[in-house]
Amino acid sequence: MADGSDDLVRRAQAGEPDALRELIVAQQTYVYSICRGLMRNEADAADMTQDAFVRMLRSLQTFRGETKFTTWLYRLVTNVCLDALRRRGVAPVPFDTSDDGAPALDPADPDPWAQPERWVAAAEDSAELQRALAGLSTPQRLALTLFYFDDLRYEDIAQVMDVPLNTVKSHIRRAKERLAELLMPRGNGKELSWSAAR
Amino acid sequence: MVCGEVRAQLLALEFTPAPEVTEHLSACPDCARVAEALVRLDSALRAELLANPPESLQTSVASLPSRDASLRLDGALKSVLLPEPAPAVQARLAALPDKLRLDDAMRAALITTPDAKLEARLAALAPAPVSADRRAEAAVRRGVVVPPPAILQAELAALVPEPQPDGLDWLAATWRRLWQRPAVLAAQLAAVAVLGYVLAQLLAWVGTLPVVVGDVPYALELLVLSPAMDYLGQLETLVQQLALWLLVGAAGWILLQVLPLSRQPEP
Repeated sequence: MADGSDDLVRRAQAGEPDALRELIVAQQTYVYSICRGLMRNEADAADMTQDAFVRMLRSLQTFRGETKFTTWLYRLVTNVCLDALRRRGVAPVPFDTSDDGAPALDPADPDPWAQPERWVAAAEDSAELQRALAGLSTPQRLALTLFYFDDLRYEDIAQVMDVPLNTVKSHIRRAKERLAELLMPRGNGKELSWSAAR
Repeated sequence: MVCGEVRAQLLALEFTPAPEVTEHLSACPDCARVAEALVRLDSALRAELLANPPESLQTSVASLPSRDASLRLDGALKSVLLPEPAPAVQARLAALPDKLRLDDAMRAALITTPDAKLEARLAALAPAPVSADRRAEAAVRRGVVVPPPAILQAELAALVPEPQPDGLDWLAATWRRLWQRPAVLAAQLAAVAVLGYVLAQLLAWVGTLPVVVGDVPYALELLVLSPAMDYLGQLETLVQQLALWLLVGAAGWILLQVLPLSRQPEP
């Protein structure tokens, strides 16, 4: 369950160690998933997960309940990761643009929507799916990750990413289309190549 | 609905599809295959994107609250039990005379430094530290350098003589000073006017008096034959003695100016 219950959050803000531990255990999967999506490697994701939870512990008292706790937390995690990327000199990718810079589909390539069974099998292969996910832009990857969090609606995703609602829908739609293109085997048996993910 | 619209809705589907989409799917086998593929894609993405963190990371983050609390407690205890005296206090302690100086044990109890281990843990907690010396310096400066009260500032400013302007500037400055006090200026002008009028009246009266000149040779003859002439011989000696003492006084004054004789400062 992605949502942190009000009572648990209240007890955690009061400083109860058990509540804090329970909150961290309940949210660690989601926090780690966000970090892995933004940092794009396991080691950095682990570091950012720790940093994000430390930041959460230090600023828990500032949560006033204007939004859902999970929205507040995931926004915090996103900012921690983006700050780390910025410190490393990685140019920030704006979340409010739906242009992912991917090359347009070659008309000679088969339409993935005409034969979806050809790429869905590759999607169920973890290694293939990971390679395809690497071809998504950062906003698409983040939006798609948040989309699969339980109890997180489009409005919540829009608050976490600080973009309009339609932009969130556009990111998710475009991400799935791009995945289908990337997973689609070519006529010569090779998959579509993808540009380096931004 | 056309297939393109149905696909767009299925791609961004949040909950259950709309009735018209369901109706289209039941009639269009191509779109039905796309819907089934998207369902399988969602399952695969959910399993891939919602990743459980490694065991070691889970253990590490689960212990964060106790680790963080322990470090915070250490810092709080240190600040309460081992407060670092302000630099001003340390300076006063160091300036105490020997007979009043605290013994070494008491000093060690009051002024202690944390051990290296605690310092490292606190350093890990603290944000970018500000130099203790700079903080102390700023605190001492704030305590020592204090602006005087406004009244004193005004009195001090009044002590400073105004610079004397040159030539006509002096006249202009004097006129400005007088013009700042019009009542006094008017009274002074009135007094000058009255004085001038009285003086004019006096001179006019003196001018009306007749001038009488007597027999001057006869007056001189009387003076020479008077008994007062006997004392004129002594007058010469008196004048000479006066002149001599004047010379002595002048010499003494000159010596006082030349020689390094000055008033000794009082002990």
